[in-house]
Amino acid sequence: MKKRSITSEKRDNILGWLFCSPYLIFSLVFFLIPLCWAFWLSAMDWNLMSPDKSFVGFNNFRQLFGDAKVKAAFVNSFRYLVPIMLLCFLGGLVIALLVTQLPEKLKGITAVLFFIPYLTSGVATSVVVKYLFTYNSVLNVFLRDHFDLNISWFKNGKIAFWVITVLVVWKMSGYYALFILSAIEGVSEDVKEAARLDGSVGLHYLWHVTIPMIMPALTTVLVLASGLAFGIYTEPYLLTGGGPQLATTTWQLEIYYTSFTRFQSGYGAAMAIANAVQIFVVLRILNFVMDHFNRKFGW
Amino acid sequence: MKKRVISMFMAAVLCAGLCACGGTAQNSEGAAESSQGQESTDDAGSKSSSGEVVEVDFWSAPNVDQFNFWTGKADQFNQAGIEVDGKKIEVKVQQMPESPSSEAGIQNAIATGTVPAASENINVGFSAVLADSEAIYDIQDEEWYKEIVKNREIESAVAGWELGGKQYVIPEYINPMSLEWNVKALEVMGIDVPETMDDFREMLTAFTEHKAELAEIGVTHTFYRPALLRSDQWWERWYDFQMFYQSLNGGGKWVDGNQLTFTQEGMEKTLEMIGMLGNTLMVDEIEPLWSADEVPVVFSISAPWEIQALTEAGKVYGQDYVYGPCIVEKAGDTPYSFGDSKGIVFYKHSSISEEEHNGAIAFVSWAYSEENSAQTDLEFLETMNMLPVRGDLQTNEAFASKMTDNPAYVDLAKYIPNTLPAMAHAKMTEIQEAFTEAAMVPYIQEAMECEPMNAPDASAYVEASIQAMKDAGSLE
Repeated sequence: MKKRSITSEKRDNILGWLFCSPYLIFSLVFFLIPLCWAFWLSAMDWNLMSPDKSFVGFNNFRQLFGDAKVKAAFVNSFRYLVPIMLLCFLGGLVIALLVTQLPEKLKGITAVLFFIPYLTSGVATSVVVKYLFTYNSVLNVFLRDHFDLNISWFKNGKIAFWVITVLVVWKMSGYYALFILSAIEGVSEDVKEAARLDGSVGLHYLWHVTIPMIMPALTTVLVLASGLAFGIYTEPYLLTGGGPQLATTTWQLEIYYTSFTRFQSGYGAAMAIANAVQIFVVLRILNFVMDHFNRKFGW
Repeated sequence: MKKRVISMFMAAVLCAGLCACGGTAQNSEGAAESSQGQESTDDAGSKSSSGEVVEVDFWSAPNVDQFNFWTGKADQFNQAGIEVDGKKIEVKVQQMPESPSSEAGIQNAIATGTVPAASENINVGFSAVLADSEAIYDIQDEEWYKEIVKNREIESAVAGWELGGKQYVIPEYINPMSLEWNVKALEVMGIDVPETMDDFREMLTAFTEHKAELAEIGVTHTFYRPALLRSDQWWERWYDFQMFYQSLNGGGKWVDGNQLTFTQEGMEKTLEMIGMLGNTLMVDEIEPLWSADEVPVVFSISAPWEIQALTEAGKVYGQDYVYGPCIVEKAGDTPYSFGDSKGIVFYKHSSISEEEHNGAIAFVSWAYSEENSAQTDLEFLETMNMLPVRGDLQTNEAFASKMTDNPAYVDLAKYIPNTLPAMAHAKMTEIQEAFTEAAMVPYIQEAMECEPMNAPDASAYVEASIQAMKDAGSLE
């Protein structure tokens, strides 16, 4: 009897591994092997083309500390992180709350409308935005004619930074709103009824019932939005190239320029690893903080 | 049991799905390429030799027109049934990857062993990187190369492509860069196309004096150049700084070997010439510029590739826009300028068999043979509206009709003998980036605060940029 049970357990284990194997193989091929290769590449001075590969140990990592472009990418990633995380969170929350107020028939279509920017290519939206801010665009002609305002949208670091930030937030808020909307819709009728009986309405209901009830979804949105802030590439690449004077540059942009424009692939790999470490640390801190809030609200 | 069967079936489906995501090391276009080492090369050779046919990959530039042009050439070549060592050569043309850039696409192809036997779209700077990486063949002493040079009369042109005393590239086309002037603005100002520094100062004075009249025809600024403040667009320095330096200083190389050869004095003079334009510079993007009803600037860097589009937009060369030489110090000086030129290289890689390499040579030699070279270059000019690199462009009957078709081409062709190439240095990107960041961007920002004709002193910026360029390119 015992022998049969052990055999059955073994068989279940094998089946479990078998079911997991596609994902494990996928992770091995597309994550683990490239990761190991990136570590190896980061210790080399190599352009991926030359037969000469020099082992430089940690030199590439040492070089990171004196590189003004890396410093700018590091600082800018936090400059992007704060507004993008907050605005995506608030934008998603506001959209979701508005959609929940709509009649059932309109909810689905409205949610999809807000979701469309997410589906639109970053290249397409960037090109449209670039055209919108050209010297002879309708907007600029209007501003010059009526307000005597001549704005160099992408030659001023602060303005260019906010144009990119708003573009990213506009693109992603609708997507995050779906997470929040689904969580709001999932709040049980019992809870809603209990709140109503206790006289909780409006902002009080939002603050004391809705937000605590959707904390896991809000955590997901905050984590995703912060990850997004570290991965910005298309918008600054097409609109500013990271300038003026590195004001809008990002890790992804600098990794691209280093690896594929200057052909310093080893150094580019070191930058990518440094970026990964920064993302890991920030996300751990964010998770820690959000766990605290989640525990506070009983999650 | 049923459970087990279902689970096995699902696992098999998932595995099959994963396998389908993969591919062979072979190029999807079917070229006889393989991915690894000598063994694979032999394998590739035997595959390509089956049926006595050697398949050769050729990459065109990442645009439909150049792809169509080279596909047409390949079709003609394949139909001609040309053989090398008793085996028929079949050329297959594919567009090189455009994203993230064609250079990165080639870098990736070399790294993964999917590089073609030959490609076009290589400038002298990237050829220096490829040559430095031993990724392309030195063709200097090859008889077929000498034949191509003779057939196209490009002995002087190829001198600019020399890298460390060797030749790696067959020059294909050249855009002799010059200045594009707004004819209507020049008429309002009552001046001819400026050619010397005195003319340039006169133009600036006239611009200030006729500002109100110019505004009536929509002209608000002198020089359109958004790239002046884009530190990421290092390549744009060919079209402004290098070009102006060479015209103002009697030519000269930016870098020669491992030596920074642009002089401090020459660099200051060049920056201050641009700085003289002060707040009349236009650094914001304008779309469209020269095809718009009202062109808001007096001049810009020419864009010869736009000639066809301007003609289609109803713009007439000589009435709406005209090309002028780069500004020289004084009358009689040679207006040297930048020659935006690209060419063809042959890749050296273990995945490319000897047969494929020879097949690629046969194809390019055929296209530029004594019999076909004029036709190939004419077709290129007609398709791309860019001037092929030929010494006989103005004298060869084959090009006469196209050249007289639009006088813009005739004027451009005149500038070709004075064009100079980009620096041939493997760290060209870093050097030009360093200059842009240390000198061009901060200097222009300061200059744009000034009134025209009051260029700020550029010496501090130039000094800083010299050190930055030496550090970036390990130059002496």
